[in-house]
Amino acid sequence: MKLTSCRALKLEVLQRAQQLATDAVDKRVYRMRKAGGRRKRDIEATEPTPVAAIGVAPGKANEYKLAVRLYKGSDGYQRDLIGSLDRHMNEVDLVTGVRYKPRLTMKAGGSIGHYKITAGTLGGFVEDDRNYYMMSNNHVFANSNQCFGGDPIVQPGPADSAGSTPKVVGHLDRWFPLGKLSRGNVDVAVATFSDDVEFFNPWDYTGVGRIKKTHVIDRMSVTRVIKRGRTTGVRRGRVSAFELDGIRIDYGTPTDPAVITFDDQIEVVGSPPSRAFSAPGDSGSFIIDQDTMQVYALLYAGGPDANGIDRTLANFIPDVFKAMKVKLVQ
Amino acid sequence: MSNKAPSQRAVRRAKRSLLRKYEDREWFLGVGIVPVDDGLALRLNVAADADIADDEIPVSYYRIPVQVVKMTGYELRNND
Repeated sequence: MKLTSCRALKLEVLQRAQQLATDAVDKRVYRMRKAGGRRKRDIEATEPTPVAAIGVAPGKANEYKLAVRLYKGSDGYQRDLIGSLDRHMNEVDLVTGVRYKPRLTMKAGGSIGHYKITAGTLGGFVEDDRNYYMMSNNHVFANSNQCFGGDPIVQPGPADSAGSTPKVVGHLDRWFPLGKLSRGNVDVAVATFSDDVEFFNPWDYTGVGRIKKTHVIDRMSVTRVIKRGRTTGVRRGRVSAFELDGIRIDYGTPTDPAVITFDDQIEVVGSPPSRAFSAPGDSGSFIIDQDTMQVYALLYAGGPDANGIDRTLANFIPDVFKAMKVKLVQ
Repeated sequence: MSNKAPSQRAVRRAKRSLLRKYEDREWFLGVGIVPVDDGLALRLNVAADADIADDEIPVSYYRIPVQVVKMTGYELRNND
């Protein structure tokens, strides 16, 4: 049919769909758990229940069809909706059982976190023989060991979702247990994707470029680095020290300190040094070798020296991957 | 002092020795290796507010230069 006819028919069927949605209220019974109680009760639905989306579908040679997308569970409304079009069924593009969902695409370098923390950064994507994972710090994904496997990982991080409900984009899979007595600590955890995530982009970092599928092997081979983090975005830096031993970081609270010691750490200062390479909220960022575009380190801490120069700390990435038994997505 | 740059192995050995020597001091905030123009040097992080005697930290250790950085401390980089 012609486009104008199709549009007119669309309006007609759309009105019918809206009426059916309103009628459908009476046909639905919601069974809800009573707040704070154990008893279940039935409640009356007060919102229309959409049964279909109506649109225009392209046909052959400037011809068009009425696009009818019946939502899952609404197949019973087909006759009410388009039964009168029986004669013109060849002009209807009907799809039943449709279930539209938000199509989330995950990209590294943005806000994310365990549902009980403030916010950190999604560093990147890794894999093992079983699955693909998102990677960040233990203190970003696993709440500094205060967690359970399967805990929700939300995007943006709770501190960045004021007034709205953060989306659950993943579930905590495993984390390296930070130990007060251990010297081989790495601050890392990985999470699997939730069902809402349709795609992820494992190699592209906005404003940084495309990373290689191999990582840095020699920790002393890197001088210029770049990262993308939740707070400071894209920043460039220079490796100012490596193999730093005896680094102490407090993972506790002012009333309950939990000092963890790290060895073999990497330190980065900004380029220029007056421009900090990172700030609170950038934890979990992958630090990338600017010359080879290989992943070099996992950012987790930092602080100023007596001259006000900010110094960022990171775990060397081979140590991180070894601890989690993962590799970059290939 | 020899003009020959110290090997990575020698610098690592010196670093481990420095760690053992200073790790228990209150002002100690870490020891590492830094790239310098002619090779590698040692880095000693000390607390910015510490009162350290002038002769307590050597300018070089096993002939390897020692750089001292006064730090106010490192903290986690999650958003507070």
